Amino acid sequence: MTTAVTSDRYRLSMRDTWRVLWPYVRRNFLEQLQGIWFIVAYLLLFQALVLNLPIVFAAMISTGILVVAIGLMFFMEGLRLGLMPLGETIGGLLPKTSRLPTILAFAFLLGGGATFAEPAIAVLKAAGSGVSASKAPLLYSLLNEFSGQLVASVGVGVGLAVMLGVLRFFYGWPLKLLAVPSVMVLLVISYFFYQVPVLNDVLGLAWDCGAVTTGPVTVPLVLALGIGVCRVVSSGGGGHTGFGIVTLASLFPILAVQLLALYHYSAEDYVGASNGQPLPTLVAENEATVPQPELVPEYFSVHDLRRYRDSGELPANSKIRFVGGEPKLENGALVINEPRIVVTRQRPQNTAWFGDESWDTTKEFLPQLKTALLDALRAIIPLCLFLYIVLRLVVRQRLRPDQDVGIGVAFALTGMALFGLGIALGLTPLGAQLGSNIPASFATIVPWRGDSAVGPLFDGLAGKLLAVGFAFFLGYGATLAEPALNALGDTVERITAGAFRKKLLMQSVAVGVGVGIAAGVIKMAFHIPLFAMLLPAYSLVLLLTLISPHSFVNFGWDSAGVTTGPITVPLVLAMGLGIGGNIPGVTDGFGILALASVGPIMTVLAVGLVTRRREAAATQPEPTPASTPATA
Amino acid sequence: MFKSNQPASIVTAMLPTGVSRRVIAEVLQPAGFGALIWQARGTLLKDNWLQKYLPPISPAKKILQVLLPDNAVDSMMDAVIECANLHKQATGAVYSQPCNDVFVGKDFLNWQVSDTLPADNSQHRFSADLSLIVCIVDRARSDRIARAAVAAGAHGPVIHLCEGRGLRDRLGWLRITKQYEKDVLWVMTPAAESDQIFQSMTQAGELHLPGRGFMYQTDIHKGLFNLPSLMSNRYYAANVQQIIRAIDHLTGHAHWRDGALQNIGSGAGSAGLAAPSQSILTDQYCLSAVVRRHEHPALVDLLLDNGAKGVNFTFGRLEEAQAAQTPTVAGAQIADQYGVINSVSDAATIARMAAAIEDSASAAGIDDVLAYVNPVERVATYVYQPGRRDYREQQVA
Repeated sequence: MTTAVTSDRYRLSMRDTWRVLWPYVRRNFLEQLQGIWFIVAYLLLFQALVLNLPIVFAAMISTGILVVAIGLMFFMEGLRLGLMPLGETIGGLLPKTSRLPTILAFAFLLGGGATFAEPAIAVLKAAGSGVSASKAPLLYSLLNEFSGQLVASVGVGVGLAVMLGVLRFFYGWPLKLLAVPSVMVLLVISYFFYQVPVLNDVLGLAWDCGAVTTGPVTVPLVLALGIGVCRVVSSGGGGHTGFGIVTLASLFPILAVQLLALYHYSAEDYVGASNGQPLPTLVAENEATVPQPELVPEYFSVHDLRRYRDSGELPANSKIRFVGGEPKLENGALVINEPRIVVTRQRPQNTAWFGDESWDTTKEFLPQLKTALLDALRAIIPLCLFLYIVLRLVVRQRLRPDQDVGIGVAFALTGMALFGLGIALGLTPLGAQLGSNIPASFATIVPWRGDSAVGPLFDGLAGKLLAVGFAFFLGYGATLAEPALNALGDTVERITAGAFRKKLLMQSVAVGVGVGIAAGVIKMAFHIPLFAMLLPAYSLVLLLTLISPHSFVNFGWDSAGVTTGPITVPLVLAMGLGIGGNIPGVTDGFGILALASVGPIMTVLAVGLVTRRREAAATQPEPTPASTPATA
Repeated sequence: MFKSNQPASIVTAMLPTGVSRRVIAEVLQPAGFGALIWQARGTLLKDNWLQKYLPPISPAKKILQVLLPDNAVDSMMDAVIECANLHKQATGAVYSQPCNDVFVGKDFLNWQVSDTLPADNSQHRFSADLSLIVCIVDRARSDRIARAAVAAGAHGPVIHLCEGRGLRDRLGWLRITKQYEKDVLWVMTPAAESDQIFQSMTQAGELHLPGRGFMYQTDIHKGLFNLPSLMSNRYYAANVQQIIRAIDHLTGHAHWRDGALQNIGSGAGSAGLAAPSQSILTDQYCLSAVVRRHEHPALVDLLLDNGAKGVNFTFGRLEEAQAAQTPTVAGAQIADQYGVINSVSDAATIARMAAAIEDSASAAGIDDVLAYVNPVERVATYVYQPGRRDYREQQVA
């Protein structure tokens, strides 16, 4: 359209370039560090101080976390400079240049494409890794032979959701009107599923699909698109400001997966059913009883005996027991004659902070980087290319050279690759050790990469409650670091002209996720069926939704969709599988993520109601006293 | 593009969101005027540590601006006051500023002068000696400056976001380092109190240091403001204005305020902490332009090429009087957003920029544009002084 500023272009020396660049880099880096320090410090301290276990792969984990921070720094700048302006530009231009069918087709393709770009199937497979074909045949089939159909139905679900979300902007439907009936339908179907054992297994998968489909690339793009559309479309309703697509995009896939499950249930073509394949025989049956590792005593050696004879001092960590002997009562005292004194010792509690291994040899730096880079390319490039083609061919616009969308996309790509690498090197191993070690609070387990068993820290209920408490802070900390939530927070703050602060949104969402994940652990630890947790939670949410103002409904429901991203999911899954593996009868980690997305809706709506009331009290215009003149 | 000869004023109103919708529907559209409207927030400052993590939600506000012929100003302001109950406490503000020069593009919809409006016959007595202080600063600092303004006796500032272009856009790819969104704080004050408030806001924002921000003060021709000054979100039985008014009423005069104000202001100045006078500029002008959102980059480029040091802009919706003419998709109106562009500079530069808009905006395809110039009383910002060693300046290439 025009050229950028032509006159007075300054040329800077290297030194001045650095002086301009450094505050920028520092600012962004510190911002990301602020997001991730809590979860990292929490995990490390919990492992070292509460569980009293050494941190394995310390060097690799710290490298990984540094890389995560750098990656997030690039990625968030990439969102700001590249992806979000691209989405907003198209969203703002499309309604002016195209007809409704074109717009809806675009929305459908964008939603569906985003699902394939950020596939959640790997996550779901990980969550269902312990599923056995004989116990949950339909679930097993969906995750294996029908996994293609599963991804496709989720994609269709997200596509329809984005389409409906965009259509909603044109007709000015309030989100309440769409979300409340959708959830009711989902709950009714879930109740039906709950009654049928084969279908009941799928319930967790279906609800989790809703939580994991919206990733860190999809959410900002879809948000930006909505904001762009709302910028030019005024349907007179007011109040809606571009939010709500993410909500629908996390509800519709649940429905899609439920329908897919119903289809296969009625067609009876899942494993072991009349039209399906026979049960695979190779699958190792996961028995209901978990093998209990024994606490191994450490034996004394001849060397220890010799040293005791020489010095008369017992070795460290010795425990003295009296065996046998004749207890007698002599003058009111209990005297034991000729007991045997047995000295044993436990393996000393490991007090070292760091384990011996500092780097996982199976995780070489370069191959990991290559995998991460390929994932990032797949997640970002096709979507951006699609948007760019739409921009050039459908909207027929060019990007201004000084909009820096190119730099932004490059940043997003770099950021995503580094972020993925950092997660693989840092957060996943850390989460995996914590996740498999946390059952030590209520069961005897062999710690991750450890060689001897550690006992339960607390008995029964107290131990399980410790695990629940751990889960709360894990969810809280991981959510604060989520890039998609950061992007949502920035957007909310921008759209409300700073009235709704990002920090308020992040904190209330994080608390909500914490509560949700703690609830998920309670579900696993006490064997509560998922439906029994979902029904009261969603009933409360529906109630809150009905009495909340529209703007909070938009933020609250959207934040539910963005909470489960690349940081939360591996940590939560590792924990879920770890805990599940130590509780007889629990084989899969499904359901926690579904509960993690109900929590934030509740907290954001509750915060909205509370502050709204207080604000109304503070800004209530006072009636002017009758004696004062009405005009100044 | 033509220069309008009819004397015109900009009427601005700061209103709560719900009220703004009512004002547009009941006052402006029946009278045949469209208004530019954008999102802002009231001030709600933190007063305990918990609010660092759970900050209060500020009340949503809207800022409305409409260009009116001078003879329509009073009746329109009357109607806005009636509709929005602005004579009540903590409701909002409305004021008018006469424009020096007005340029209107040939496609600009808003400019329809009807002579049927009654002439000046206001039922409300407006305050004449008012000032508006506009402060553009980093998001992280706005709370601090708002607190200083309230402490110096102002109402809680009305704040909106703006984007800006200027120095960093001349640095090539390094322009990505720009903090792209700033807060714009608006404070209305009686002219007599403006010195103190201006001074304390300058100090709180450290505006004499480089890169901290830009603040200017313009005169308000006439207006009425009843904005709340909220120091916290706790409920108080009365707000500061009500207490002041009650004392006025009890004493029967407003002279008691003079002493109090002098005490507040003299502190920092007498201790030698006042901002260096070099950082205060006078004899400045503000050029404002309203243009379609997708055309704003071109216009901003034009201004920057013609000597503007920095330009800030914010986006709003133009609520047109004849909404039926806009195209629709699926029953929804499709209307572009508009950008309000502001740039403050000295008289010569402003004249150059205005001439550039008059001459070449149309040639660049920008016809849906409105531009006007207002005098600015003073400006506080960092001013480069040769010989100061801490900041080096590069030669212009």
